[in-house]
Amino acid sequence: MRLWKHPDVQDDPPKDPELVHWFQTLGPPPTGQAPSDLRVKVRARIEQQQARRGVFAWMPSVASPAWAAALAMVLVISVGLNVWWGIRGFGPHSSGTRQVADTSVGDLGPAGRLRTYRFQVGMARATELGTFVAARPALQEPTAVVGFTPQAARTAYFRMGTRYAEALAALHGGALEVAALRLDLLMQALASVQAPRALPQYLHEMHTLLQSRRYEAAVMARFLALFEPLYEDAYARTDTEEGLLLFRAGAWVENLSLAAAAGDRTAVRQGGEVVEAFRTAFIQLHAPQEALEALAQLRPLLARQTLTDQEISAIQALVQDIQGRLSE
Amino acid sequence: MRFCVARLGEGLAEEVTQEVFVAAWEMLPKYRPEAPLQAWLFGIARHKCQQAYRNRARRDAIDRASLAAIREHAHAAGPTSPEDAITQAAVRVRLHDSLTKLPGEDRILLILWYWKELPVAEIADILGKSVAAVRKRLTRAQQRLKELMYETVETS
Repeated sequence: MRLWKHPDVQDDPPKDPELVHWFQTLGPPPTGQAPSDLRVKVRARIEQQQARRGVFAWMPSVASPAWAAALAMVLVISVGLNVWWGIRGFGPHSSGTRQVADTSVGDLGPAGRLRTYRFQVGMARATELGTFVAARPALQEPTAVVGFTPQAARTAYFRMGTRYAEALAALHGGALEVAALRLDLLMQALASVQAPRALPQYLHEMHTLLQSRRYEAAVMARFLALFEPLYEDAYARTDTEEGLLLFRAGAWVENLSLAAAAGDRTAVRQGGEVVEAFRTAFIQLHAPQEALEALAQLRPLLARQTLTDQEISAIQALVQDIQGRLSE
Repeated sequence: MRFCVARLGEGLAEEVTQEVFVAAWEMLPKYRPEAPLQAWLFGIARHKCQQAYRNRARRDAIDRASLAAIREHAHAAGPTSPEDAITQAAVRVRLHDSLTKLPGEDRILLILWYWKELPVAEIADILGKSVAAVRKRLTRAQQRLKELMYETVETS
């Protein structure tokens, strides 16, 4: 099955003979010859880039593990502080206000930052989230990094949101190993879409800190939470709005899945506040029809005042279906 | 280089080709030897071409360069008999003038489809649009170009 393809994909339509004739009068289009100095120009650009990074070029060769850990810590704290000042506090919001900013997925502004962290912290069984993530198989990222088709990038963006929410949930539950594994997958996905350099760098430092076991999981969760505004800032500056939207969608679906797994009815209903907005956005992105149908089925369920165990199971199944279809 | 010229025209192709090789150099540690190097490089080139079309300034530059290339061909020496040469030169000039009157996106579509002969799916991929949207727009653009070509004949 071809994912993310519009159902009416067909062979090329016939060309208008008259137009073909007119364009033929132009002769063949220019094919282009590589200029003789292309190699020199490419080399010059590479050297320019190296010079820009030259200040830190010595680090890998001389930096001792202690230095590396200290520098990593400084980097994480400095990035963290910068983001921290621009956002609201970390504390869980009261149930009445939680996730309100989420109601517009098209909003690319600063509102609603740390939404994944807040959602998870606000859950009744937040400390058990790691167990739910650990119980799942560790899926591998697709190995192919060639192609860069929009479809491949879209599924990668979605998976990045999922992996981020999973890693965060694992940290809430103190499952450091599971979190490290999810971060690995997240880094692979970032590499596959050539994400802005700051993002893998931040995660690399996070990963180093995780392995050092110097900080407890709750502190690491706070550090990792800052990745979300960092990601949003990075993608808000690019033309790829879908990178932002699908990351949010991936994190949202994962949060919903965790809330359903934990049987947290309040969180499930709050997670449903944006279901229609995501559905509308997915229609514009030509998401697989099956995923759209699953979202349509989710909407009335999530709108219910009370949810039975059976309905929670149905939500869980639908969410898993959506995840499967959007991340393959 | 030819890959980029076919998609972007000569104007921007050299710059983007340089970017492709710089990006390849940067991503070399991620390259998997089991994958063909050529496919890997074409993947990067394709991504860079997509990025070029998504950047407004670059898209305008591509549009201008395509039009300039057509203008150049329109005034190039024609083939065979003098009659043919005159007729074809007139068609080329009319085509250039008509294309100039089209919106930029229609012009790019028609040039990629009729002159560069790229498949619709690839045009959609490069422009970041669905195949259906490109087909629909192509139909309208073709119609409009024909109208403009005949208008030019009538007025002349």
